[in-house]
Amino acid sequence: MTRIEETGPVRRAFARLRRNRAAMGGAWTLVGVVLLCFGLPAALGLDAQSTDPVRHLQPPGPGAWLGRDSLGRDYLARVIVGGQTSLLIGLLATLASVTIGVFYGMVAGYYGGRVDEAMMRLVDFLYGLPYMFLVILIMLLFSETARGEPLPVFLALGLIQWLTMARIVRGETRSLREREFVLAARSIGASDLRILVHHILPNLLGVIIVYATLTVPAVIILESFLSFLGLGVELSWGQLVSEGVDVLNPIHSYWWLLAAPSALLGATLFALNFLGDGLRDAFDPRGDG
Amino acid sequence: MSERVLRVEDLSVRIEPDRPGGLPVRAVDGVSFEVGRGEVVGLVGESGCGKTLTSLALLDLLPRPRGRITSGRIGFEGRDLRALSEVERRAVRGQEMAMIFQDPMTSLNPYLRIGEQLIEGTMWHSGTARRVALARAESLLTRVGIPDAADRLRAFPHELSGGMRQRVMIAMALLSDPSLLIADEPTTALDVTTQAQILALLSDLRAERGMSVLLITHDLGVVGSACDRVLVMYAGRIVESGPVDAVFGDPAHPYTRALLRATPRVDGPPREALQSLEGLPPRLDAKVTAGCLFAPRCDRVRSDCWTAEPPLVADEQGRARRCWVPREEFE
Repeated sequence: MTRIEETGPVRRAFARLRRNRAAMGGAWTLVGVVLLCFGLPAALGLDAQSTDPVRHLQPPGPGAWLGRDSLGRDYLARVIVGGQTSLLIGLLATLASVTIGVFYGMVAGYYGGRVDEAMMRLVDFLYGLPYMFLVILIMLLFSETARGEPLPVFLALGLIQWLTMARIVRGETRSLREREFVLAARSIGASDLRILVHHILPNLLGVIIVYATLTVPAVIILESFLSFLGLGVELSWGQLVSEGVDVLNPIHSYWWLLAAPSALLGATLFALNFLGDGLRDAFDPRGDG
Repeated sequence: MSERVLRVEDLSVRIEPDRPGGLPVRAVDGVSFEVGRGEVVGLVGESGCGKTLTSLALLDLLPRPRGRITSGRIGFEGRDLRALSEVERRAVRGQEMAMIFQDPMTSLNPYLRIGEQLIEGTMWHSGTARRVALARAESLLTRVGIPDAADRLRAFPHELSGGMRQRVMIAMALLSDPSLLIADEPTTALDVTTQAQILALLSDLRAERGMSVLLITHDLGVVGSACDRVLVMYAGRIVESGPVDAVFGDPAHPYTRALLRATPRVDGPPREALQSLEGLPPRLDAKVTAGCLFAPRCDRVRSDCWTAEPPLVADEQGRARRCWVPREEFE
């Protein structure tokens, strides 16, 4: 009996993941970005807010390794603090969408019939609305002062993203509930709640994890887009990119204002996508032992 | 064998259409039977004749939300199961009536260890301590013929063979010491040797625990070797019932005869061609026409068969049949 045979499906999935170079590269990149964004400001005492009109638009060099923006703020600090917001929004909105989507999808899929019908029609309806419209509507619900804060943005994005999660989970649940182990659990008197939590949820784990890692980059991109439009938060990668584009002109390129946040955003998205792909393969039961 | 564990009277099950405009299916129609204590009763018939739905109805496990019991009484250990509340029914399911399923490959949750699945029922029904439940599970696994039971408790389903998993399912069903075990084609997915072992195990367990078994199968050989009594179902109805030896030795319904003729026998005359039964069971969604439902496929069909459905008539030897053709003509 080999070592792998003695372990559970989840551990076997991670063993497979460890053998996937692209996914592991993505995972380590992600760890690096997170350490950079959350560790560095405290360690170096970076200041993203104080302005310095004399040295505005200073190119990268000693003292300001990523240069300064049009108000003379240290761009390295701004990119890093902006990263905190982007990553947090990505994480929190994904968490919100996973929580709502999984619960909603499991209930609809498990009970089926009219319950399912009614619940999924609501999802279809929300899908049908242009999501920008929904996001703007939610943002408008918050007071003027709360605008620019991360909370309304992540709420708005989470409320949009759960729709796909709900559909995926509902489909999976529908097929799982027909499996005999669910019937077997019912035959020994398990309640619906117990079947959902104990029998169906563990089987959904692979799908949920994979889809969640694919949702994080989607949310970060959406947030960047919102920031780009001026609807997002005060300081995030998307908003920095938008500023970088604003100052772009044929005479002075100020390339660092665009390159720095774009590079970090790009690296994070690639890393998440590779990790997500790797996780999907790792959790596929048809994968090798 | 006078004491009855289960008494089903006039049970009917309806499956609602899955799309608007479809017709509901009367999958089980007026089925009545009894199971005595310690008795093994076989329920046979072609695929789709209502065997499995009958057993699922007993446990209140019909596919939801489309399946529904429309009439009948399910008397079990002196109670009417249909009159119980959902919570009470769950308790009956977990403790007094248990079921094992056709495909041991899919009836265990791939993400849970064998031990977890085995004890989950007893732990929340009778509040048994985890350690006690695991010890009991281990001894039952040993009893159903699983070596290294202690190690197996920590195994995941994919590490066991089909026969082993079916033994685990049996152990799981036995854990609460049920008075009735419903086995839905427990050996169909297994190879012949394992099949024989599982059947022998079931019959040993029946003997040592005084447990009744309702064995659902389409394998007449299994019925012949394992059952005391047999119920033959066709198109959602019981068409013939009685002690296995009597029914198989001298079938009194053309359908039973056709089934037996289509079954290979080790001890039968050599080189005799098996005869298959032409056609398919009728669809049960249309307004059922008058007459015997088996008439279109019957080799003894006569004119009265098309006008009215024969009633299920019992005789004094404990046999019953649903046929217009007089008994004597079957000789």
